[in-house]
Amino acid sequence: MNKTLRDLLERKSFIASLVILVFFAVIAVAAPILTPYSNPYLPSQARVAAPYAVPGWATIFPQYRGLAPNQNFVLSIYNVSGGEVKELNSSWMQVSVPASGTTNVTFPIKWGYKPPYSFAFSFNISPPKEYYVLNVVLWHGNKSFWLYSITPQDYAIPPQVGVPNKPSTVYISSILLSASNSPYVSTLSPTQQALSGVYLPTYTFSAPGVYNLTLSFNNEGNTPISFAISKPTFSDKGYAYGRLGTDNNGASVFAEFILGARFDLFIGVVASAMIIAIGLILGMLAGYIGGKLDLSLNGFTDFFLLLPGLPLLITLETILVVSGAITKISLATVIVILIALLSWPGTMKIIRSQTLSLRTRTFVESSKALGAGNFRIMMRHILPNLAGILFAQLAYDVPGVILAESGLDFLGLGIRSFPTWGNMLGFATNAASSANSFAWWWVLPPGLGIVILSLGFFYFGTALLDVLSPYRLRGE
Amino acid sequence: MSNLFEEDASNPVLMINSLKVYFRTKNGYVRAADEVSTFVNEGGVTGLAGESGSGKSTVVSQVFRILPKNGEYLGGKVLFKNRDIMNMDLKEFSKDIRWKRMSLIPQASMDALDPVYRVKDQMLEAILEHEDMSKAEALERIYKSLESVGVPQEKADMFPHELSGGQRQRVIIAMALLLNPDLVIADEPTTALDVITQAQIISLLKGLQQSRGFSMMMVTHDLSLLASMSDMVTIMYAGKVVELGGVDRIYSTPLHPYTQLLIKAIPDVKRWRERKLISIPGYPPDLIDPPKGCRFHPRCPLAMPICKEKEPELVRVEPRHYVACHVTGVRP
Amino acid sequence: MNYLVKRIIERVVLLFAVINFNFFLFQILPAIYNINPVQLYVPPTYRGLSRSVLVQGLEARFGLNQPLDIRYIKYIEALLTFHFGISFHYQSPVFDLIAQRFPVTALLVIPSLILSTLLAIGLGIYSAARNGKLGDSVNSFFAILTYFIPAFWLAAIVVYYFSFQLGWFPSSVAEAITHNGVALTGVDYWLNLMKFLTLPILLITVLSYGVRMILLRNQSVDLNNSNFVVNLKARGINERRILYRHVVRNAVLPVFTRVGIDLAFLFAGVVFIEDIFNIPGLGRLLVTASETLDIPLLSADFYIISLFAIVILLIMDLLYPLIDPRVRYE
Repeated sequence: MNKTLRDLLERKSFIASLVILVFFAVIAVAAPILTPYSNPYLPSQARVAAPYAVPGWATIFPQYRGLAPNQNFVLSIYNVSGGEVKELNSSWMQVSVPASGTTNVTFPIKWGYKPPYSFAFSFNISPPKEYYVLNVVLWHGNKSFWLYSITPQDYAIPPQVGVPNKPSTVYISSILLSASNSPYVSTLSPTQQALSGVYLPTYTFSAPGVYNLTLSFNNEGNTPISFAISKPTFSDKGYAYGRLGTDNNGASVFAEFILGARFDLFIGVVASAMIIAIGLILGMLAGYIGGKLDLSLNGFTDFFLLLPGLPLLITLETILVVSGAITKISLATVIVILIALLSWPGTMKIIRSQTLSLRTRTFVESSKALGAGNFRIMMRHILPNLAGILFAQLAYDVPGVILAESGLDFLGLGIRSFPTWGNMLGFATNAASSANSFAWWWVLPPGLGIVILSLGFFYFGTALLDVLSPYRLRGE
Repeated sequence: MSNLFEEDASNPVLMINSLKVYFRTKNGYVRAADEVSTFVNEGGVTGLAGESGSGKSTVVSQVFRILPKNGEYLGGKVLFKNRDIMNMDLKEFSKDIRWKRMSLIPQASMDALDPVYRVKDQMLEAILEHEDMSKAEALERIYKSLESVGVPQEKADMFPHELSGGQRQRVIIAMALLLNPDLVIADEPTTALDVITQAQIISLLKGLQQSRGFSMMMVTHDLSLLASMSDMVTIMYAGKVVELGGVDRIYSTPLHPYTQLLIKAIPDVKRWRERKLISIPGYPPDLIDPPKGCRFHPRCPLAMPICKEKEPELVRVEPRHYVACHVTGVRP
Repeated sequence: MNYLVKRIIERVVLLFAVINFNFFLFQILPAIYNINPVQLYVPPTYRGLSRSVLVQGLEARFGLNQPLDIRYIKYIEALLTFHFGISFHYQSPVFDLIAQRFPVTALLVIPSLILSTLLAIGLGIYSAARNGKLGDSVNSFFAILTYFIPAFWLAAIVVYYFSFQLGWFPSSVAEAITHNGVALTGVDYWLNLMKFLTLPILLITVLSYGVRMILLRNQSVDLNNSNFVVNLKARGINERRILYRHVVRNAVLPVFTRVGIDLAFLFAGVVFIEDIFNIPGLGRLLVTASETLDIPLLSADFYIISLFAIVILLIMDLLYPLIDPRVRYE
């Protein structure tokens, strides 16, 4: 065993394949740690950034330079005019507004990017009992946007927004701003109003620079009033996101990729194991028993080789799943079983020919002469000698399974409800043809994943075969 | 070393001097032929004998310069009629020496000939590659050559798989003699054939050698065969020449302990009742890491302390007799 | 002739098995699972007729209400006479549907088969002649890489880049065979169609040469160490002559078999390319039929594919002795 291992480790191709397989295995196992998303195809896990957001690192390329990333930070620097502000603690402050006066608290925001996809401000407010008006204005140079206007609940006249008299949270998001809650939006033309969610970020954060968020506290009464507010949080969703950007729903492609890897690796290994099991039983019986059994099993295999694989797979899937004949078993399970049932013939042929050559070897002949039963010979002599080929064949079968499953998903006939590399490619190419846009960060990873993982398994199998099997079956 | 055989090799056709060929493998170099020296005299037959794996075929491959890819020629001289054929330009060697003056009778095997061409086409190819003659003349020669080895003319139109094993080997012999070479090297020409065919092929070769007068090197593991055919015998063990000499000396007074054991091990039909089959105890050494000193010492009944330390050199003990042994290889 | 007769019988038995399997797949299996394929095609009501009446009507039309044994006989009869009936989905004769699409797929598949075989032989010889050197390693690696490139993935990238970005090729058949909204005819039609098909043909070529190339290369490398090649070298035969006349000549034999098998199954194998390029060929027809469980179309399609495969394999059996003298029909 030690020598086998040493022989394997001497091969560069084996080391490379091992690195690939370990890489994907780690990704698959560590998926829950690597990404917070469990299924990016759920609407609740979409829109984590702009649709078609490029990967964060891609902003080093000139055509993506300046694209905004997702950000979230507390605005802690401010200046005050017309009143007093006292810090209560690190996050709360008290704003005192004199009678018939206005206190402006201005928070500068350094913005270094192109417009974001969306932005939001949020702060907590504990308002006074008296009547007041709080205007939220965003300004930059001589342009200002009167985003929001808050009064006590009972006095609100749209587009003013009413806030209860107790501590509450104010959340101002570019997506939720409309003519009914934003003075600025209500000044726009009806068409612009309808698309304000899309265009607001481009009007407001139109270019890099320093933007100011002013909270303007307006006291129309005769007595001073005071507000307790938390320092506002600014957040935005950008056009550059994470390691691999987002898809057309703004879901994380990285999450899809590693969840896809997890699934593809799983389905590949499980289906290959089933293929090996079928191939082993039929191949060993045909090769060892021989005669009429061999003739009929071999004929049976030839017959299976003659059937058109993919269409048959689709037909069976349609009969069993789409028509609702099988509902208790998950679609993934049905697909695994179908792929295994349709892919064993090649493996069976190889195992059969190996068994045929083992059958005539002296150790088998001698056990036979000693009166050992067929079953015993198969278990004790044939099977252990086939082990190397079985492992190699397992590795060889995985790419085929992954390709078949991906093809089914690609055509939209397989799994659609959670990410697989195949359906990622299907969705990506469909989106590309309709929008005429090509999200390379979405299209390339699953395809490269399939190719690289398959190569990993292939070279792994080749190395095993070369080292473990007494005869060379294939070339490098 | 260069004139080791000076006194005995009078005008040799082939002179091999300290030929060294190693094979690269994963686990290290296999020292398949280590300083091998021998010669073939004009008109003579030199036998090259040894167990399988002793380096005989490696020597032949290197003489024809057809080593497999992992074989490395690391030194030594091979002179064909006093021309250095190791350092000769390969094209020139191919055109002037290979087959035209020195041909090979390889081991009999199913695929010794290209399976997809007719016998006559393959023979034609060999002739036309080396000689400028019309196709009709060449065909004439092919038929004659086939006749001389006892293969009917019409077999020339057949494919190799349609011939029997013996016929195929005869065709190969005819092929080797097509261009009337000065030297024929036969590399185990009869292994893998049945005994009766073996005998026929051997007597055919003997007859041809005598009638045509070409020189010959006969590589075999069968010592009894050499006794009847050759005038010189070279014994190889583990990539080394251990003894070399006239056939009478080798068989009557073998000097090297290995040769002695080999000669004893020849089954004698006349005295089979009295003698048990003799085998040499132990195994041939691993040629990646051969024993220090004499490579035969772990199996040698006469081994002395020096045999473990120092490699014995091939020395001339008497006319036409050389041996590499610390114990018996003493110059008189 | 003995061998050939045996081969024909074997193939026919195989075809018969496939036919029976198809009957099982399309007629018995749905029955086991209580699926009536017709129901997939029936609207809840139509012109005031109730659903059950509509289903019965369709069943009668397609003969699905008869007992299985009668259906079996009709089925065999249909296969033998090539009267495959009417497609559920397309509502037109199955035979016409297949006949329309066959030339399209053939136009795609046959040029790429020829091109990829030539490419495989060329690169295979290159690799064999350079066995063990860097050129061989790189060449072989790329060939193996092509085994694992998903056709639909590479096709999507290539279409985007060459058709949309560079605009070298028309991006759809419709675009290719019309000019300013007027359908092209005659030579222009064929030229433009071929221009459109160039990209998919090249793609299939690249994606399919690998297996054959590696086969040729490995065979050649093995042959290079075989006795007869070593003997040819000893015979002083020119190296190039040995390579081309002996090594390649022998190594081509299994490649020929492989090409035959590929040819036999080609029509089922270009589904993805037809899908991405929107080519109305047999592959797309087959996938649509499978998705919609269009039984008449499906069973005809499966039958045609198997029949074609068996005919091709038989032709290969006949041709093989011409290139390998060791196989003779006696």
